[in-house]
Amino acid sequence: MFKLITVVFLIFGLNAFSQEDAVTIVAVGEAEQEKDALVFSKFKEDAKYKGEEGSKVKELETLLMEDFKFYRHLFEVKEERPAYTASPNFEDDSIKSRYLITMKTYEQENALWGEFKVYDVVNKRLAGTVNDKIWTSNIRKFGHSVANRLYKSITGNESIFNTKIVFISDRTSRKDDSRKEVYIMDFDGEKKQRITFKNSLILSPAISPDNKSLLFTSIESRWQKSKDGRPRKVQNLNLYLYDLVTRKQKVISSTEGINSGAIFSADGQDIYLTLSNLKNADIYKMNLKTGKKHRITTHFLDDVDPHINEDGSMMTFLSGRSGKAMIYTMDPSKAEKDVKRISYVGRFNAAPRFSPDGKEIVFSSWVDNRFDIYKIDSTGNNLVRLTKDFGSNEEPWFSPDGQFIVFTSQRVISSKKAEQDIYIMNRDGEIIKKLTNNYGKTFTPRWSNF
Amino acid sequence: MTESFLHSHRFKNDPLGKFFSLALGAHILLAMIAYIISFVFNFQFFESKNKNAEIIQSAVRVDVVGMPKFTVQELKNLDPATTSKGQKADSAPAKAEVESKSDVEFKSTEKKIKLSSLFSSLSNRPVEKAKKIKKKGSVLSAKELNSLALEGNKVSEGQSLVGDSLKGAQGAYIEYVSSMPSYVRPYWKLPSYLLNKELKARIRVFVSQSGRIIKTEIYESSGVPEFDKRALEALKKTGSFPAPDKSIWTRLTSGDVILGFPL
Repeated sequence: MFKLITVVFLIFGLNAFSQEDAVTIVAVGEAEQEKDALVFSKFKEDAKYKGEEGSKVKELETLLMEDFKFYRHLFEVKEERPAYTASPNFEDDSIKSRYLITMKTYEQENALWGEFKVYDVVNKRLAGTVNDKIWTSNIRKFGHSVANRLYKSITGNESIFNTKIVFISDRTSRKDDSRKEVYIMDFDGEKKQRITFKNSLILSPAISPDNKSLLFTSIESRWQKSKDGRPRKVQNLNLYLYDLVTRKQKVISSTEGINSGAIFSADGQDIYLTLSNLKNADIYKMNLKTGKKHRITTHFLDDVDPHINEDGSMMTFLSGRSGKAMIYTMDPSKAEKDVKRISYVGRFNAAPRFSPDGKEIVFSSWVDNRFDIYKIDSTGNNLVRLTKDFGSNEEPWFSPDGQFIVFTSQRVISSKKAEQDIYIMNRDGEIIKKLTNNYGKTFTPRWSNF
Repeated sequence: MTESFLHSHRFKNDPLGKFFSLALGAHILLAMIAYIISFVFNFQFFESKNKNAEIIQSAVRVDVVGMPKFTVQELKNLDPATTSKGQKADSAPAKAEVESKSDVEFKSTEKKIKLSSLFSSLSNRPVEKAKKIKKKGSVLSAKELNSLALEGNKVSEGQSLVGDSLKGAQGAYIEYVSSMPSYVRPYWKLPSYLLNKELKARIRVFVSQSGRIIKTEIYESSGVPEFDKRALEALKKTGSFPAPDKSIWTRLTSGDVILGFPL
């Protein structure tokens, strides 16, 4: 019995003793991410190149390094490169990096092959291998795919290297005939392609979760009887669904007024769009199969520009219900459910977009006679500024991995001329690359999904 | 007779008494259940070893009156040494203002000495600042803390939240230790695979009279040796803090300060 008592006293007694420790705990705060040095070996070329193969391999080499430089907040890609080695000596001074990527080409069954290995130098192990036939006919696609696999074996996550960006450009406009069409390009701004040939003004494109369809609004004229009985030409904003595989399109909503700002739901079965047939703009959910529409916002002031988080549990939108254009969130499963105001400042806020994990909202706000891009938590905390002194910046959109933001930036050159181009910055506002140059005025970039 | 015999016999076999041992057993059982519950549901029946530990985080009062002026990049590029100097320069006139204000008050009431002695006795009491900032169960998330560390939207550094209680040795001590993170933070870096893992390590630091870090020891390990190593490395790279005031030498050299990475 006494033994038991002693044990109990010991257990609780120890606690009592440690309490006498009068100390001050000072929080240092969250650590900054340390960049990992990454070095590519020189290419070992064991194959005899035919035709253009030599130059293609050079292009591949540059592309791989350029791709990794997008993630400059994670990696420092070293310029000085060691020679290729089949079994690297991790103690070698020429490596001195966190990661080493070795590259070689060789010939097999009369075809050109590439072998890429990524080594974790610190833990002295092979982290991943890519061994593939080189698609010389589409070297950029091949390169991005290799870069993605290498990135994945280092971080365990998908990269942006296989993604694309859809945007609008007015480059086909003539003097008095303004036109805007949809275009698509690789995430790095290469391989731009025109998608639509509607010869109209197209607005707000959106890509489906499976990257196979596109929604966009086209401003079109139609004849309508006016009060005096005579037919009159009126403009309407009609919503189209475009199949990126079959290249077929169809009108899916053409009620009177606005049918715009549409985005896909998380599962791609429904869309959220803004309609103004009841005079003030409201957000509706529409089933793509049945075409049935449910009203989600019912306020008597305008609600526009919906965006949904990844699992579809939350919607962010722009509303004038406070008297100014402010950002709100709500549960889109029912009309006006859990509406919460997120932004309280800014003269005019626009285009709220969720990060892929739904934890942050990026938006543009009118400050000092121009738009700049800001980021805020979906809870309404931690408002931070991302752009400044960089023209007028609008239409931000997160990359599918949440590491980057694509946006448009306008420079006024003269009273009649202004340039508007698409840029990428990382999530902390560091500008990474200008994606369009002399490609007309470009608008509303939308990043594809993985 | 037989009854009393039996009774004494029972006593012999069971010196503590049946009921007493039963009651004791029940109490121990209850205490153990409470202890287990406190573990499972994180109830604070038994205060942890940090009961007497005062927790200081750099407090930033944010008044949202407009869109932030500085970008994240600009805030990141602020040199921590110059900002902390700047803060000191800023805080000095602020103090002067407070003192002159109180002078006016004292003159009118003519109780200067009494009141100031009252304040100095107040100043010896444990500062309530930490309680204000850190409440039980309301631990800042890593992200919130990160944004605090970035000092975004900063209006004022909250070192003067409790005003007069910062006078004297206690005030000097609080001021000194709250300036410490700004010297460590530039070296507090983690590789990608250790970030956002919700790890926490606490390191006890012994600071010499000249401000040099004499000794560091792990007070609370994160459980991940590399994380602990990185925290220790950050302190090693920091090397030294500014020379502390004589009045706080003993507390610093005896290792009263524990730096939390991140909390």
